[in-house]
Amino acid sequence: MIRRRDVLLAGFGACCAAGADVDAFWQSLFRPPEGPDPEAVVDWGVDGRSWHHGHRLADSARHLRTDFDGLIADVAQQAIDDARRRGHALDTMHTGLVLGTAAGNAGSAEQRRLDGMAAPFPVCNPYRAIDTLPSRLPVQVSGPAFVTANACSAGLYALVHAVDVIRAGMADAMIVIGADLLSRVTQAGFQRMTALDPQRCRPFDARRQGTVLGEGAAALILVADSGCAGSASAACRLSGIGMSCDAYHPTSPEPDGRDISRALREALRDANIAPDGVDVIVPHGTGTPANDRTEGDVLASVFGQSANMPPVLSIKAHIGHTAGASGIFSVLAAALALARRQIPAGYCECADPAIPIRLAGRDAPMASGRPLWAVVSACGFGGNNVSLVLQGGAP
Amino acid sequence: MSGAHLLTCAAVAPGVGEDLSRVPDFPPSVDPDWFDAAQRLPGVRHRYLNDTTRYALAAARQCADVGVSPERLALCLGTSVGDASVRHVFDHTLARGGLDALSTVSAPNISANIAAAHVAIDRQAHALCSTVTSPFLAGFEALMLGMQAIQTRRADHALVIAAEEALPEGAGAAVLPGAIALRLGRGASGNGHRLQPLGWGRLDPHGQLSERLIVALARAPSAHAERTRLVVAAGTPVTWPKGLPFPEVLTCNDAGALAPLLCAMPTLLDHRPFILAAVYAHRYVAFISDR
Repeated sequence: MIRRRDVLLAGFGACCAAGADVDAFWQSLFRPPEGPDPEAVVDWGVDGRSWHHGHRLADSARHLRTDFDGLIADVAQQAIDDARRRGHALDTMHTGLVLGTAAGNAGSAEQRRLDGMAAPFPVCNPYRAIDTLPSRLPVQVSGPAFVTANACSAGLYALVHAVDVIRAGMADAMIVIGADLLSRVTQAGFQRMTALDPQRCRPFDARRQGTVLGEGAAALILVADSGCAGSASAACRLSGIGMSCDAYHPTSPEPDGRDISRALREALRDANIAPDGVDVIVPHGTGTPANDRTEGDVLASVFGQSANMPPVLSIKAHIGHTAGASGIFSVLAAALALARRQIPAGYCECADPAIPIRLAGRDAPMASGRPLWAVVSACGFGGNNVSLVLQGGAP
Repeated sequence: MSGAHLLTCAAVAPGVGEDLSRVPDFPPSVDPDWFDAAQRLPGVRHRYLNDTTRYALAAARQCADVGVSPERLALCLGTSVGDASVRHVFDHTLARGGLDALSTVSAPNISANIAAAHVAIDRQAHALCSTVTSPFLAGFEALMLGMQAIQTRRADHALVIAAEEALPEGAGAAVLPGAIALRLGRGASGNGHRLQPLGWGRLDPHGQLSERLIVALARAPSAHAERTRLVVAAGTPVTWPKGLPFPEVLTCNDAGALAPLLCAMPTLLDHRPFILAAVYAHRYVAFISDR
């Protein structure tokens, strides 16, 4: 039997409301979050009924708020540089590229329409960045290059497809990017679906009313373990993958969480780790009443009730729901927690007693003397569920 | 990487009949009433669905079910238009009538994966459900991901769909509307043949095939190599290496993902050995048959 290729996470990049790089994102998780910008989304101003709040990119990255291509190039460059510092030179590898996004560069056509200009598809195709990005990167992209658009789980779907590409021998390294900018059509659609909280993003909070959208992009470099040079290092190893589809409702989760649970259990089985061996969980946690409740019930059914459960680190209160990028930000938070052996407090002011999970709650060091494990989940519109298990390096 | 068997297929598109074994003559213009949702989708509340979803549902229903448990059925859908047309319409609705003019029931159509979501519900595909939206090649990429779903043992069958709806007037590009559905399986059924990935990647900056693809093509048995078909987007320069049998080139002048896959169907349904490649901009995918 051929042994499957191990895949390592070798480089990271990030740009979001909390800052324009990985460290700014990580440090923000140790502070109470800033609320959304009340005027983040520009609309037509027709009836005054639309909500405009959202988490915009940090001021230091304001020039990227209307530049989707520039944003994904920026985070990809950060990740490539990070991988190089760890000893992984992508320019010597057969490297592919996958973009996970909910709406791509939808803002380009929106802006043109606002300006009274035509929005021709060849120029405004929201997914054409897959053809324009490679020439902006400092490495040759010779492997597969494609876009996945699986709503809010697009980032993790992209990551899993990238892992499969590496394991199939079609690339030695993959640049995985999750990215979305704010869009007035998305904002209006979410508001009509009563999926927005009018105040702030409050995952697992008793007062939550929905999510708040955020813009951002995050990038990972995946490399085949066999392709590592002797001195190269990695932040962590991708040890388990589980996928499923609710096939239940276009936007609402199946209330029993049957398929979310199946993906989670499959990821643990794939990693050959028992639930009580997991050190931290980074959930999807959108702040939407039904989603958080379903996800909490699933976590309790797999990991046990809150007292026994590993700490749950929820990040969307800090950066908003970054849609297609959100799963990659969750991986980033988990990988950094494993690498730095520290769990930030996260933020939940008034935890919902009906959700039986154990929120991280305070900054805490993680165990020393043994490898650490993290679980990351994403659940998107369409019931698209992905769970991953990450393994940190030996101490 | 081992492949997957192509079991069945069905298409719903203007000018395309049941026989997919020859390259269709795409109509120069499309009758807006070419698709009768009431007749094609009995029992479906289709009024609030977008066209891509309607077409994908119809094609998927036409593509015969082959018994497999829901947890073992994957769905991979390719669409290059994605959510662009819906967003165009919604944005104009917002501009004219504000938030209340937007239908709550139709609001989920802003999601590019809405068609896949509805088909997954209708066909009960619980293994995974992925939507790819890369320009032109999204249908071929969905085929590749469907094969991967089987190869990685996440599924035993994959329903692969390419589906598109028309672009808004003045979009400056032509897209053939409709859908095609292909059923892939781990095991053979009837006279279906096995399909394997031959290559997936990017050409070099000058349109030359990558070294990897050239090696893969050179290693292919001559019976396959002599029947190489290349589906290429109009205006995409491809330099074919000397020494390899020159392919039959099918140029496709369409901005969607459906037309290119329809162009490839006669090859995919051919029982003789073949190599099939598709190229857009600098991206390529390539498959080889294995009976």
